[in-house]
Amino acid sequence: MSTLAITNRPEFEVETYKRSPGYNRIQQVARYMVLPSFAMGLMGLLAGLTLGIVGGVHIHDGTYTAGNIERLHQLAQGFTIGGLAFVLAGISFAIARILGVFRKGGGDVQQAAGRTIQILKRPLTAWAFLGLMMMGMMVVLAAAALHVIWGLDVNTHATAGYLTLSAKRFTALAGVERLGIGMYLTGIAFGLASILHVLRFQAKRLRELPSEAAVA
Amino acid sequence: MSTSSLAERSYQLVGRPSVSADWRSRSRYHTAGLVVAVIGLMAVMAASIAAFASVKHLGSHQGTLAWSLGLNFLGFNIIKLGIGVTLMGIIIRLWMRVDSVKVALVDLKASAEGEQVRTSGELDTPYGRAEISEQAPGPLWIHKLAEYMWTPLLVMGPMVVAAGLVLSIVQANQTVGSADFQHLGAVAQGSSILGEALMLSGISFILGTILSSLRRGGGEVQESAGVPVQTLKVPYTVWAFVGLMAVGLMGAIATFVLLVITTGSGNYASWSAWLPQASLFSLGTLLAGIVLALYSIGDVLGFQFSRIRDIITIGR
Repeated sequence: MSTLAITNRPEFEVETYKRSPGYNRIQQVARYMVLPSFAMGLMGLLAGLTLGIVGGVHIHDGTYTAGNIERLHQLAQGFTIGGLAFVLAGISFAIARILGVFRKGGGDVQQAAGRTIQILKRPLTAWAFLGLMMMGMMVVLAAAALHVIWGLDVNTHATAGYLTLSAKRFTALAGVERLGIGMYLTGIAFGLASILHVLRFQAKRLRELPSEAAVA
Repeated sequence: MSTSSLAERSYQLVGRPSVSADWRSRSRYHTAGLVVAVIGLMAVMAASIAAFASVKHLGSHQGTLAWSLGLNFLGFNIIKLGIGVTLMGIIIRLWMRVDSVKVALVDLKASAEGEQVRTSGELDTPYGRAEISEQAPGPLWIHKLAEYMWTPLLVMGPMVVAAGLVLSIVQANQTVGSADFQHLGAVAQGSSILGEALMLSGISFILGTILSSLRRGGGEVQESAGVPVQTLKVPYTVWAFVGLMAVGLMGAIATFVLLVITTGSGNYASWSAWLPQASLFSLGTLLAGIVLALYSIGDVLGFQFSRIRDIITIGR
């Protein structure tokens, strides 16, 4: 399944193969990670919502100290943002899985037709997709982890000064996590643009197949 | 099926291109979608920098935090608009690919030999259960709903988020801690969340439209090749996607209403402890639905590739 040549075509850079190359390594990982990411995301979101409701109930009852409320506030946000990070990862993995289906399916069809197998080289948009997704994931998960760590750090009888520090930490992390989510979403836009590019290539390649000579 | 544009028959911004459309041309939606998304990311970055700058003097910079939150949500919405534009391009290119497959199969299809093939009933495939018919299946009610709904939602979402930004700017000019400041803050936050939810619902409906195009296009290709039409039955992931989308959108609407009606009440502190989490939960649920929609699209595409391969190798 080795690469025969790398051809520079006018609009599409392709690799040619003897046999259908199937999924690449990243796409293989993505295929197995979509549903676990989805499940972990939903669990994080549910945990965050539950902690938020517990905090609200205790504020209403007046049974918790300000320290306890602040701790729950930080923890709820940490779990919710962690959940969002996993759900967004699920979207990114699902896009990579679709790109894998195009790669494998496109190769299989060309092989079945007995023609030279041309597979589109990874376009720039796909590299940007990977980079933005990884940066977004690291930033959002780091913010979620810090929410949890700093939340557990808040003492039941925390002083007013410490509560102000915690509020500042919360505000700073809110900025960080929104930046990370912005990167994630932009990465998803680049991933979808890669699918658009592949669709255009396949529409062209399919029309070339009948007029091409069959290979042995 | 007629090649008349789907856009003419529904309220979609884009639909099936004519058969004479140039499949070689570059997609305008590719570039436009990316440019819009990058502009959105820059807005998010500007808002995040403003939020960082306010941290040191948190008490006196509440106004900055208010408008930066509104700007942040607007930035997210612009990125999602870019995603929506790219998905519109995908709808168009999927139909061009259908036309290409039809043209290619005329020459590539093998001549069928052997026993008679079934033209009705169901069969198991590696991608799920499929139905067999002689003709391409029509759209399901859920596909029609998706085709009619995505455009209005994609238009309403940015309008509601922009209203949220305006309210947050008005809030920033109020006295910090006053009742007006608190009330405007709640309405601005609720509007931003609602706008995001509308936008994500619009994106979900575009994905539903893509699934609809795949179903019809796949059937059309098989019918034109003169083979029995095999169509995947609606998988459980699609029903879960619809359920999550409904829960997410209703949750966002409920959160908006609760934020608005509880802001003047004596219990606002307890409500505000969990309503932000509830709003993020609603958005997360919508995003989770999108994961399943994309997963389903991957399955349908895999099935269609295997079907094309069968037509080429065994002719049925």
